[in-house]
Amino acid sequence: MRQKTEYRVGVGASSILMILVVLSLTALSLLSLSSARNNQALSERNLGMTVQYYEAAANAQRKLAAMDAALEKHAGTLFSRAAWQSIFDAEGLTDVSLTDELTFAFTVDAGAGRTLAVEGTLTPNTQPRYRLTCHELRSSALQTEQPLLLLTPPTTAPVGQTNP
Amino acid sequence: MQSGKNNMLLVELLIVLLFFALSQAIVVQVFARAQQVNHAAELLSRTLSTAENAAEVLAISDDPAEALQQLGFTAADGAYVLAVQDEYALNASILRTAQPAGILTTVLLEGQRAEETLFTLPACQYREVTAP
Repeated sequence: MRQKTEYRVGVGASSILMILVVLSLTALSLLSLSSARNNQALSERNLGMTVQYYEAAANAQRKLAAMDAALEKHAGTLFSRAAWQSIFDAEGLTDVSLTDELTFAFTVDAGAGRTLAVEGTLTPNTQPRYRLTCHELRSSALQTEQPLLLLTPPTTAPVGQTNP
Repeated sequence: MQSGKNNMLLVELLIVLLFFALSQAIVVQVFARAQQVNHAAELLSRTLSTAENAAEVLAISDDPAEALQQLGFTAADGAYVLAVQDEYALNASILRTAQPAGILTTVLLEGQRAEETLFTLPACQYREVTAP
């Protein structure tokens, strides 16, 4: 007569299975938490860099306002590059560089190894008194010929508003 | 002897289930925490993205108040508020500073969660003023 074979779960098999399952779920949960923390750190880093860029852009606008004040003060006069440079230096705009064609350029630190480069042309005897030709974010960490992020303004600067 | 083995198996199964339940109580909390962190990071990114969009629009607009209203901000106590999601919101306040040759308009965009300020984004624009 054939004997019926009984299959029984051995003592210890369930423990081993439980240990494997708990270990794998623990590893998954820790990986999930690590990924979430990395995502949060990346979001916060992006936030910091974005705020630094807009603060640099605001500083650039303040510098343009100071330049415009100097241009308005001496409007109607023909000055050479050296004369305008000395006027700007007297107004505290020592980092604004001028060329003989009266094109100006300055940079503002935008944090994280980046600079905001602003360039334009001075037209002190016309309205508007200056025109922007370049508003670029450059990275000093990656020295490339082409800028990483080109933020050029419209070809014509906004026309001054009438005094209310 | 067979019943002894059965008893041992039952005891082991009970211990296994108990330990499994305790460990999963901790693992589920870790998963929930990860989900919370991801959700908070997503909302922060969304609020920042909304603030950037508003800052770019304000940089070229002639009337910041009208531009803020077109972006969906509602006026409240001299400032402008835009609800993003959950407790996240954007507050905007307009500052006009007279310069010797023009007007410097600064719109401060504050990202807030409940009463906590997460970031402040300045949107600055300088306009020349021509003499009549």
